Amino acid sequence: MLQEVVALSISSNENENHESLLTPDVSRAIKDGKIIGYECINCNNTGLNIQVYCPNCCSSKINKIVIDGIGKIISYTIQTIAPDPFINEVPYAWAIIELDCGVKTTGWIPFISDPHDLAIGEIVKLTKSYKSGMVFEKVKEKL
Amino acid sequence: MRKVGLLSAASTKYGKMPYTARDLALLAAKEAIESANINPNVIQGAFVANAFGISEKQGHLGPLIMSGLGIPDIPATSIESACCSGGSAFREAYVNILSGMYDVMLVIGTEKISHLDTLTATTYFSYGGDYLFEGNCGASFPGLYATMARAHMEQYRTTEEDLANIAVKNHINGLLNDKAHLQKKISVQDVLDSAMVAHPLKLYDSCPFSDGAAAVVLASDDWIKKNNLNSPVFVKGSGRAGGAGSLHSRSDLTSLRSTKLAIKSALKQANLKITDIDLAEVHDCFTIAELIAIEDLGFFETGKAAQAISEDRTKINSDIPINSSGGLKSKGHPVGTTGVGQIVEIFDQLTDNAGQRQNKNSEIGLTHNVGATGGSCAVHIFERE
Repeated sequence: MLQEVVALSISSNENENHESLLTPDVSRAIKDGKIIGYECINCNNTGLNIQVYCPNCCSSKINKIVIDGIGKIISYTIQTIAPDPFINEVPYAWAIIELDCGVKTTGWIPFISDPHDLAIGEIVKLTKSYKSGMVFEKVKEKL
Repeated sequence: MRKVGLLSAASTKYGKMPYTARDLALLAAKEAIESANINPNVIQGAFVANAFGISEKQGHLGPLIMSGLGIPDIPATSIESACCSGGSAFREAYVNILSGMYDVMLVIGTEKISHLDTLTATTYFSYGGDYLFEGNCGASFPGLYATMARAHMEQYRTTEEDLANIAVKNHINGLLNDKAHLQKKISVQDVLDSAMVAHPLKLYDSCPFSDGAAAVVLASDDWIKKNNLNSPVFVKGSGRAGGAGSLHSRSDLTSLRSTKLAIKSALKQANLKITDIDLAEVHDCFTIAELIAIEDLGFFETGKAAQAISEDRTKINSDIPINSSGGLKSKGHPVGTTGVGQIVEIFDQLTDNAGQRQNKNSEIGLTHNVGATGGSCAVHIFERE
């Protein structure tokens, strides 16, 4: 059933120019429910951070890529105390997620108050965010 | 390479203090200057570690502190490396003396946090990580360490009781330190029953928000001799490393690469093995941080520290005493001050001035200071003269 939800891979940016990955683009993508990452043309290293040189080989040949927001939980916490923009959201889960393409991201999952309601290895997907940050939801519940 | 000595190390009490960061810095610096038996006008330069000065509407603290010490012409540079500001400032002063540019330097760590409410303090702490991907995505600072704790529990079957043992031990040490913020004996059950902050970390797994300052006077060996002064403790090794600032950029959540790089570099310079270290102050902003620290530093194998702690092998006068001061957990965590305060504890231990918490036969001590979740790390090794 999971395959029906999404199982896409990294798609390279059509623009052949090597573009730096900078904050405004990443922020805009998060708002649009997309994840923008980078791919190093020299060593194929991929990731999410703001890079002008590759953290693996120091090449400046970095392309932006659009990454599908589906993956599995690597680790997580349930937060009962939150920083400013999230005070009205507690409790919620905050997680490190390994996307299907291998790139890791962070994200928060609303309405989870019990650590047993989530598990390492569980599949989650990106949903449209109604506030800052990348919001994920459990895939299982949608099936 | 020049030999660099510590003439003195001093600290205010940590806790909720009725002073500004500037006041606290002056109190600690005055004590350090007097204890070094010098006049402030022999100081040639200073580094001031401070992370949250802006919250007091005061940046650029250095010149104000130098003016208060009667030496307004002396250059003072502020260092901000989150919770590693203190260790980083000490490192820079050490390197400045090694270079031959200066002979005598003052390092100050100072912080005022208690004027902030919990929400504001929590928000400020979240700025130390990768805000775009962490704070902006809802992660609190405890949440980041909780995620590391969860990964460690999954991989090594670490339990919440294992983490509680660390809090209990550090509170026992803190009770012996009259400068500690939280002077209270606690039990494993107290830790487990305390309010949840970010599962699995609870209030008693977490360090308090503290005010406080610490200061160290360091100088080159030849200058110390020329001026007939006494330097009871010498810097033996200094290691400093960076690491990916965000958790999602790391291959392993159960270890800090910056700690491993910094300890390797410090031990190499000192020409020592980790087993030569007699005691250590490590960065325990949360209980899980101490567990990971003593594994990364090499005191215990990865995944084995929890058992060692439960066997009391990290208590004062045991195999390797960890955080005899009470650590960040009990002594407190005035962010920019912490790294300098750790050096004060090692100085006191190596000069037999640690009072009730004195560890016998302490010849070589280590400090380990971490910025946020490991984006910065400073390790220093000190030897009794």
